[in-house]
Amino acid sequence: MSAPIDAISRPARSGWLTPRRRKAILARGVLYLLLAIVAIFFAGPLYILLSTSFKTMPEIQSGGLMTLPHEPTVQPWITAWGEACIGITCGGLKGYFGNSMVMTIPAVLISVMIGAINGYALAKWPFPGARFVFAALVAGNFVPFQVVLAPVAVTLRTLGLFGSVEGLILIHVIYGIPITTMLFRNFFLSVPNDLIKAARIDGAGFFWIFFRIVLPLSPSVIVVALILQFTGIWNDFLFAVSFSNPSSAPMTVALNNLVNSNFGVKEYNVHMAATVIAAAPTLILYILLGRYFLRGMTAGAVKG
Amino acid sequence: MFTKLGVLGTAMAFALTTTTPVFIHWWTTGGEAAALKILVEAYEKTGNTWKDNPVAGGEAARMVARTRILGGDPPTSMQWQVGAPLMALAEEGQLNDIDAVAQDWDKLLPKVIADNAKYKGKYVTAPMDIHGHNWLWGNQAVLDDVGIPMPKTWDELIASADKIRAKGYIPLALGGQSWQEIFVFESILIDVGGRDFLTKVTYDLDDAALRSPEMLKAFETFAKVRDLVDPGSPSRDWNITGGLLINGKAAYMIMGDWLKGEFVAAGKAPGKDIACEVFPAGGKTLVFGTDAFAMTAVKDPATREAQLALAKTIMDPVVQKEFSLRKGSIPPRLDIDKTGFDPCAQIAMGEAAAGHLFLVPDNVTDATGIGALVDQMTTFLHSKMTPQEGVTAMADAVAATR
Amino acid sequence: MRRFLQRHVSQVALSPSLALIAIFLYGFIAYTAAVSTTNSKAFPRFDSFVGLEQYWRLFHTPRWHVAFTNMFLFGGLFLLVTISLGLLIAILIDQRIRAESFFRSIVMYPMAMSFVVTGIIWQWLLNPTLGIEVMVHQLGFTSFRLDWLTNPDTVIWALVVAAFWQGCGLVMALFLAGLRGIDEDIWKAAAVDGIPAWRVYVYIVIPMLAPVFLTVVVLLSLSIVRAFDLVVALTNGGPGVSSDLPSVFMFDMAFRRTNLGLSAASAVVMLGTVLAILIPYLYVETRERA
Repeated sequence: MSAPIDAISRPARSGWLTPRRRKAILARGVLYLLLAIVAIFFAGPLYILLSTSFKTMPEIQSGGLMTLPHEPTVQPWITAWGEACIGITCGGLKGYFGNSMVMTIPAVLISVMIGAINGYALAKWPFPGARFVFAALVAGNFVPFQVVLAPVAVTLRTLGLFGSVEGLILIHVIYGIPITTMLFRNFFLSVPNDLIKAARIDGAGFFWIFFRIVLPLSPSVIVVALILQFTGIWNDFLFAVSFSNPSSAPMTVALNNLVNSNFGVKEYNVHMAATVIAAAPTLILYILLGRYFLRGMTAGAVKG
Repeated sequence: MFTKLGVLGTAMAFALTTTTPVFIHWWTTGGEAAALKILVEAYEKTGNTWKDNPVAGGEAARMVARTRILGGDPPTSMQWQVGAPLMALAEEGQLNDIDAVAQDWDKLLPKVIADNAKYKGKYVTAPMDIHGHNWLWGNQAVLDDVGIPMPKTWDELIASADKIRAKGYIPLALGGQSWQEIFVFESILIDVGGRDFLTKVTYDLDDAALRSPEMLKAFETFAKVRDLVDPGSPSRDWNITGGLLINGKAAYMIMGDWLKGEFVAAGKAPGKDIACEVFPAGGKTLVFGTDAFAMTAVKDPATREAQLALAKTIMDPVVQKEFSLRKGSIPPRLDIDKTGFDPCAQIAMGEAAAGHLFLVPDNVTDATGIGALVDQMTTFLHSKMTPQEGVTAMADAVAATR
Repeated sequence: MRRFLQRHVSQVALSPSLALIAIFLYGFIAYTAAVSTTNSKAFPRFDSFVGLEQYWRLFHTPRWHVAFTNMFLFGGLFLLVTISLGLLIAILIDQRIRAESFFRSIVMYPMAMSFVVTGIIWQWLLNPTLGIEVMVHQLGFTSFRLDWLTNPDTVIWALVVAAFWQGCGLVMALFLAGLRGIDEDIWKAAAVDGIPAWRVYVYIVIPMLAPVFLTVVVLLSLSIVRAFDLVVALTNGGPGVSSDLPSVFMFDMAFRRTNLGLSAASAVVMLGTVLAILIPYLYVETRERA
């Protein structure tokens, strides 16, 4: 914990409103004012999403986005979840929620597991060229996904996985490897080598050390990797729309069909409710695991 | 590595079977879905099932369709448009012909649609609708208030702008996105040089025409459009822009006939509350696009049957009429009677019968070439370039794509 | 055999991933490069070799120059704004404030939103007839104009603000974690010497955070390359083509203009440019701390 600004200038004996004391209070005031501006900037959009999603359409058309709902209604939420028409089927988003879960959970778990092993191998069992391998992993990640659609489609087809959930999971796992590997490698660099050396002298092997020593030290970085991967895969649209079929389509595909429809009156309230529903799992994850996220970063995931 | 994939990628005629027929389309909203339901219900009466696969947005839907084809899981049929994009698929061997049910289609369809729905003389798609693009819409109440009639030419339209502004209205409602702006530009091209000039510029991308005095005149008119619109125009969606016209904030709008759906939703009658005109009047040119369902190259006999049944359903006279009534389009079949259609649709049907249809350049011309033209058109409108600079920039950009 | 496995267990454990990456990243990059030398239209085909013609065409496409310049403009501004403000917010939150977890959560929750949702939200907010401008007018400041979305000269700022809103949380968290990792003795020593806090930050603390910058730059650069969703949802490249980015150009060429060859050429140029900037950086950074 680094020291706060005013702690440095705080006098040893606090006299009431000495010039230094006054200055410190002023500094605190400025600090909270800045924080309030920051909070308004970041929270504003969520407020608009939520307040609009509880308004009726006439109210939105007459009032603009910023006001609180006069006659709150949950109908937009009911519509978005179970009644909104997507094409000729009117079942809302609910049918796609399961598809998203079935795809996201295995993809997240597998890619985090692989990233952990890779990061461990690169950081703790270095070999000639390990640095090059790491750089190649990170650099290759900059390929724009729009251009790999065609070869990925052909490859999935060759494997007989096109259009299946398994195919989507495979693709998400593969394109998640660079990020998860980077996170774990950077974290494991901060784990003391002595621990591992000692275990190796005792004859412990690669995986024994991984599962018994390294992994128990790293719940925090695991949380970071889980959150980042879950967010990325849950929110993905490009792969989802390209490599799924109507029965395996995840939520983002349905949300896009709902919100991006270009004809007719835009039902902002339903769209906003749908947007919040689609983002809910990731939002909840951040709220529940946010503190671990930060702890994971602190624990060393940030080391270059 | 890539040679192997390349072989896979080029070996195109997939003989994969799909268990349930799947149909990709981008008709995701209220009015569109209501129209689609007419088709789906009629189709399911033939004993087939319709597995719906909507993808909002034409580009996204086409991307999905193409990726599916590459992935060996082609949809049974997919929404496409007649013309060049369809031929590109056919050349790759990706489409089945449906000639078995299309024996008399040549007689039923306008020649331009028939020609563009066939590959090597065989139909590969069934046309669902005709949407006209170069429509001028006018809010009758606003026009009456200002005391002006619907203009017949661009000169008249521009001349009326001061009177409209004096009464506090926006002369032209325009959504500043390139696909909306091109309708304006095309109608100016017709105004300046008629159908022949439009052909030379947008079909042939003819360098001489692109640098001609007529083109300069077109850009001079187009430059004036900058002053006809309101400051909120850039990037605005077309339906929000339509609201300006419908709510009496703007006098005119140039937009495809799907805009009628917005009138109807707002309780305004096309042809009465909102006047309509193929613009410029007397140009004998109705720029149009035709949605059509393309049949992928599946070999499975059951799926083939499903494709033929769909093609037959689409061309059914009742389906053609009921679909277009809900979609705001007109039916491709020329033998559908006009009763029940609004006055604007009846005008369009007259134009179609008179042979004034002009297939939208997007579906005729090399996509990269016409794309460069569109990019320069929109860049010009949102800049302070002079007309002469606009002409040169467009001609140069188009030349670079050859 | 067993011995080999034991000695090279690290490489063996990595090899499946490496094989996958070699195919799915580098193989497909090579595939894209191969497509860029062909006249492929709707589907990739390798019987239409045209050499470097697509590159010539690309460099004579005015819209590409806009998109390419925008990548640097958007990328540069986004990195600058997000890193400097992200660091500033981390420092503010690190002042032993009340309700720290509240402020932290507020800055971090946008990370849960996809770029699509971010784009949609900010399109509503920046819309001159619907969002912030209307609100300010209602407060009585009727001359207020916020025309970022409709002005070709400023539209890039709309992208930067939206991307910053979404990406700042991660940067803030990384920096905050870095600040928490710094030895407290530094502050005690500075207090004894009477050095003002801002000087401690500028001359001591921020240089100590250098390792964080690698992670931040890599993660933010990924957002720049993948900003496709954001642009499509927020501006769709407009007004005109003024907010076009290479990823949008690439998509348009591939799927609207059915010119896979040109699309692939633009992908190769973009990737080459990004790597030309990043590889030296990666090289230096990993050498220092490996």
